[in-house]
Amino acid sequence: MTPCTFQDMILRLHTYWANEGCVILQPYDMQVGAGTFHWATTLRCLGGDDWKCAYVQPCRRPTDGRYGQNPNRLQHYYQYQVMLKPSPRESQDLYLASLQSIGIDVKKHDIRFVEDDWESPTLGASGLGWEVWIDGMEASQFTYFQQMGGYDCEPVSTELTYGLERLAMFVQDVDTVYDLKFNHTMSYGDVYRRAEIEHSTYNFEVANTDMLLQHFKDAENESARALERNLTHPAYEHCLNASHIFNVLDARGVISPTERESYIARVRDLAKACCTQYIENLAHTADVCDDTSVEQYRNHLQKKT
Amino acid sequence: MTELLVEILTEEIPARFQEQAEKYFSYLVTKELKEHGLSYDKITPYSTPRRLAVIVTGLPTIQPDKVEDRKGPSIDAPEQALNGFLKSVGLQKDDLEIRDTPKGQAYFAVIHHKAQPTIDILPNIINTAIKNIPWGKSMRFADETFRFARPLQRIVAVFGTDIVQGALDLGNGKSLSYTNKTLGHRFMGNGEDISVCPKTYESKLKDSYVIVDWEKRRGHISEKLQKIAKDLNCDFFSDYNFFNYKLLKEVVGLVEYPVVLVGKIPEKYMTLPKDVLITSLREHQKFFVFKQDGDTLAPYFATVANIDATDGGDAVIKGNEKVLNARLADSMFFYNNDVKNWNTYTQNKGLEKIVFHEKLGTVADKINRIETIAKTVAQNLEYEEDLITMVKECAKMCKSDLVSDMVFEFPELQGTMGKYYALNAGVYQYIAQGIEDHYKPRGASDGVPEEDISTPVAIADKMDTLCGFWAVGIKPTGSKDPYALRRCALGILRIVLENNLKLNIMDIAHTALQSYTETLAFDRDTVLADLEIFLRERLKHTLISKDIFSASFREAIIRKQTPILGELREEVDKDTIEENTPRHKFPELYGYHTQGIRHDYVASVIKTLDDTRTFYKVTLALAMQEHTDSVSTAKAGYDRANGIVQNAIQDGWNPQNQNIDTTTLNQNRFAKALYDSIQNIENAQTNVRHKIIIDTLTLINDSLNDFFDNVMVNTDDTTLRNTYLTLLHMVTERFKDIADFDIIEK
Repeated sequence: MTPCTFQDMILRLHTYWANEGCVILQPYDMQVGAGTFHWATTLRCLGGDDWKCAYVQPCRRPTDGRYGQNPNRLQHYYQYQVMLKPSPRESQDLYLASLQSIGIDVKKHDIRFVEDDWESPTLGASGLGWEVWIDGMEASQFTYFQQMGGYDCEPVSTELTYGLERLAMFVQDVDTVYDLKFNHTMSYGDVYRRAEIEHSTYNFEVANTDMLLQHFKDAENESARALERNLTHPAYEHCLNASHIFNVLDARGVISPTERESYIARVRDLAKACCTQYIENLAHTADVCDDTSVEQYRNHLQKKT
Repeated sequence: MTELLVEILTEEIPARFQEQAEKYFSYLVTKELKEHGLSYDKITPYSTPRRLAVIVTGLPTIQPDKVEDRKGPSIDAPEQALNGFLKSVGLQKDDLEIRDTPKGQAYFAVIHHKAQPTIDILPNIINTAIKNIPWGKSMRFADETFRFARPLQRIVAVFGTDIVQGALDLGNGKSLSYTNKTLGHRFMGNGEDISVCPKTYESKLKDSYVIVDWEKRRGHISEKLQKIAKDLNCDFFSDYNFFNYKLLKEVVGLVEYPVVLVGKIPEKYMTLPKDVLITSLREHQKFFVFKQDGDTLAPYFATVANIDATDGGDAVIKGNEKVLNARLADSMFFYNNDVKNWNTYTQNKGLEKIVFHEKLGTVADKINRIETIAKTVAQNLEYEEDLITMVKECAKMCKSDLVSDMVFEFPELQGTMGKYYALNAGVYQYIAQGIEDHYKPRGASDGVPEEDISTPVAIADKMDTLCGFWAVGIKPTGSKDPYALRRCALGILRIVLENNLKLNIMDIAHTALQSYTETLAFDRDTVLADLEIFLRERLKHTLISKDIFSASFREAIIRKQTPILGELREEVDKDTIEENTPRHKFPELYGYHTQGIRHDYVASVIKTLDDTRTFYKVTLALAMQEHTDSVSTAKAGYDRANGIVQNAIQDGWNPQNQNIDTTTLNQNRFAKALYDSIQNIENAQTNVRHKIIIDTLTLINDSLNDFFDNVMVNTDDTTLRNTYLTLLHMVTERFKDIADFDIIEK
């Protein structure tokens, strides 16, 4: 059996998780550092409603750029993210079956759940779980969310994050990410290498730091302004903007260690405020399904201003 | 007599929790059994990453009858109290007995508890035990309120061959009913339910590829590793006992069916420093390593898989080799880069950007302070000038590797990498060694630095940290010690003690604080005094503590050969059980057979650290503990002598300016003998051989007893009385020079 291509792997995961009742979402059109930042995870893990989704999220990590020269490190890569709320009793079995769906023979490989608790200071979030090892390789992060934005998750969700490139390299048995078969004619390198070199150069050498410092402030202010108008989702997006700008500034090396802390704290405060507002508005959004309720929700937002 | 099986089937529990959890769970089950009046023969605990289990043998099928006498209110108590009591015991007033108690007459109820079948009370016992297992970290699952290390899957509870009828309440209306069906190995089993009972549990699981006995898995892995070493003509490193055992324990906790496989380290990476390779292999990949040809790393690793793979493990080995290859490629890149840049690193410019603590400046600032303090230590230890220069040189580059790529990637290699890069750049080997050793002791089981160049730098680094935090008012409180200042303090004490350094610790603290006076506002005398108390209390605490004080500690101090193990237990327990675990709740579990030094002995000897005699004091406290009889006798003698002297003082006798009138003294041979005996004390005190001090005390004591038996102190002859009183006063003062006998308890 020929190993599945990169895009085929995504399609198979989509099919698998769609069959498990997940909403198959598209990537968040924001520059984020991890799939967790997608509103479908960060915001939707709050509140008592059931929620199952799966999506691919392109991730940006400016400091990880290696000008297309490192076989494993990229400033832009993909995560496959699954969120299951509340956490199902058979979470582990579901995950293992998903591995089989992309052609990993669980009777031939050594699959381990190795303790790895997850924490995101930027989101005020934490969870307990494992990193899943396949023959010594970290293949996925498996987390039971306990807190988000400083709030206890009630109920707890299962979050699965697959490192798609790593998994594909494992499945296709190649040594460098650029040799991955994206499909049967194109390699990952064909698709991304040029952009990787350009982005690395931009992030490390070119990005206009004065402009970015200003953009950070603008994004921060705009997020706060949206929050004042009780508009959680827009506020959250501007918060993510600020977070990404901070990451680029960090890669440019213009942020001192002390300032670093304060930048992270500023983003965290916004993210927390978004979570707080999301929870506060839950009662009013439970049934936003018909025109009347939409009108009611708009009125509710008006009242707060 | 019947057997009980309880198995908690869970998702993978972190390896570091399993040993404690196994211990607690079986302990809690036995505790609950006892509380319900159920006797048993034997309890056997089991654990794997997915299971915690016990098998209890020799349980009665029915609880023994029990009669309880419950005390009620006094007969004079108001009606209400009596009614309440009657209600609580479910009896009438006529059923009560009136009995005498020390507080007068009171009602008593004699309650006959009806014996219940064991199987009926088991749910209570099982659930209480499960709920009370303490975890360093625990979690909730879905909408349940129950907390456990990881989600529960099943609870198997079988008494004889019967399923115990019960369920564990998970909160929010959810519960988990007991069953007699478990699951086998996640991948090698067939996925079907397996019916088990106490007699078949271990064998049935074995058939389903689960070795449920922790010790058997450990034995198996250990045996295989040794065979592999033999086949490869290799051996284990001398730290096998510690490092590998720790790794072994972790690995045993990661697998249900261990299969040991061997892979190769690619030749091209074998040129990397040994520590880099070993860190990557052991810490990051959990591989076992071997040595060959003396102390050289052999180009092999062993990994323990949790599966006997269908292809014999080829894919597993290949996968692991690939991951290792990628890791080592990174390391090689970092290493070459660092070697190239080492001379830039040692200018410490990069350290100006690393904040040590916001109030205490950058690491570059710290380096300057360390240099000053280390110099003072070296001077106080009377080093020659050129040695002092080398100490300063070592201090200057002791943290230069913090800006290296390798340390950025593997923080645990700080110091070690500095050593390699310095050696590579041709730095004198003991200075290079000092870069690595100044972090010592890194933990409880780590030794202290012992070389002339390393010790002052190590003390300086720690003292700077301690004093800095003290100066800005950051101190450990209760269980919170985020900057590990307790360990820092113990580190200083250990270095001084284990090297028998004649160093006044407080002089060094004084110097360390001095370097902060320009940047921080604090009252130096107050901080210094407070720090002295902290350090002294740390030392005393270590000496007194039952749970951290071991016989080997004594040996280490006395023989000054092996590391003090004082911290060891503290560390081991912290590793496995983090804060918040109610360790004090389960003293029975901690079968510490070792004994601390009596607190009064410690207090009587260690009154200040503001001198160079710390080593002497600790050995003396140890000596006292080992000769409690002699100390008690001496205490009795001291008390008698002191009593007489104190009475005389109250009667107006002034001990000041009294001289022994030798002529008068020589008239009485007992007085003379006593006088002579106390002259030996000073000699004894200069000798660290504790036994001599104790022997001297015994000797004085004999003379003292003879003196009391034969001499009347309070005579009318004032010259004679004055001489005897002065002599006794001298005796008490000499005793007090050794230890504060007023503090010592009888």
